Amino acid sequence: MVSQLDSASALSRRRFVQTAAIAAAGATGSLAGPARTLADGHRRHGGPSAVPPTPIPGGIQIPGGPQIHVWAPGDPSVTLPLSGMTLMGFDVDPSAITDFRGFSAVAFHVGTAQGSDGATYDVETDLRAYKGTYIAADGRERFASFAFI
Amino acid sequence: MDLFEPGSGSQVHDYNGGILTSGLFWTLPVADHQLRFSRDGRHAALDVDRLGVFDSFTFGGPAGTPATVSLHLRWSATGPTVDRGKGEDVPATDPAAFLGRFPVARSTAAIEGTEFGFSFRTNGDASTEGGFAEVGRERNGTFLARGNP
Repeated sequence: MVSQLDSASALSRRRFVQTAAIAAAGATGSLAGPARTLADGHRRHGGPSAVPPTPIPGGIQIPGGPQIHVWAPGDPSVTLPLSGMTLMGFDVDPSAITDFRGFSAVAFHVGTAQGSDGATYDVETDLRAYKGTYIAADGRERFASFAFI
Repeated sequence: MDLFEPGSGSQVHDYNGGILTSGLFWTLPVADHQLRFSRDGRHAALDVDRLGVFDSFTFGGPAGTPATVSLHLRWSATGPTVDRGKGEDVPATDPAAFLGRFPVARSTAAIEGTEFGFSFRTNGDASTEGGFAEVGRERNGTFLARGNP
């Protein structure tokens, strides 16, 4: 089963940006559980197995939609050129994982890409990486590496 | 990571790791050897090939197409390592509910993606010039009460 955020229609990045700005101002709202389940693609595609970690309890509340358990850390003077998203500040947790202790890295890249259709596309990323100890969903302390894509 | 049409600025691809029923957002396990951090936390490298993700085409798109991405990312600190976060001085749902030591960094990314009917490759390396990156160590959740990051 493959699905995405529980919204009647696709949210635009600009809508997300607006939401992130609201969240940055502290209006995060209450926890809204994901109403639809995403298949965990790493299993479908044969990646390494791990007992999943638990998401951070906070996160950005999508107006009229779910809360997404992630923040947008970084220099608040930076507005990403394609999405228009302004980063939320330095004292913002880069981790999407709670009960975590270890290394974290986050990067918002900008560039271009060549498509197989011959077109050139603009690229913007929010890519992160975590390596360390976490309390897994089964309550046990584990060590693993994760990519946030 | 997102691809935009240069002319219209419209987002046309959104490759992401999906959302688990727990709410864990865009986070996928990778093998330990694919993610490396320097001991001081000021450098990192992520090298994964053909990681299973979805293309939801827009942020929060209602359906996803199975895809794979290959990522070759590098982080190198460019500034001093600085204490970040407010730990247990703020509610667990606050963006600052973590403690970490992070320098601002520069990151580059070589990315390839493939799905049925389309593939792309970044032109050279995308970079965080005009974006943002940081790399370091942190702890959150139950680990806030358990010593240094």
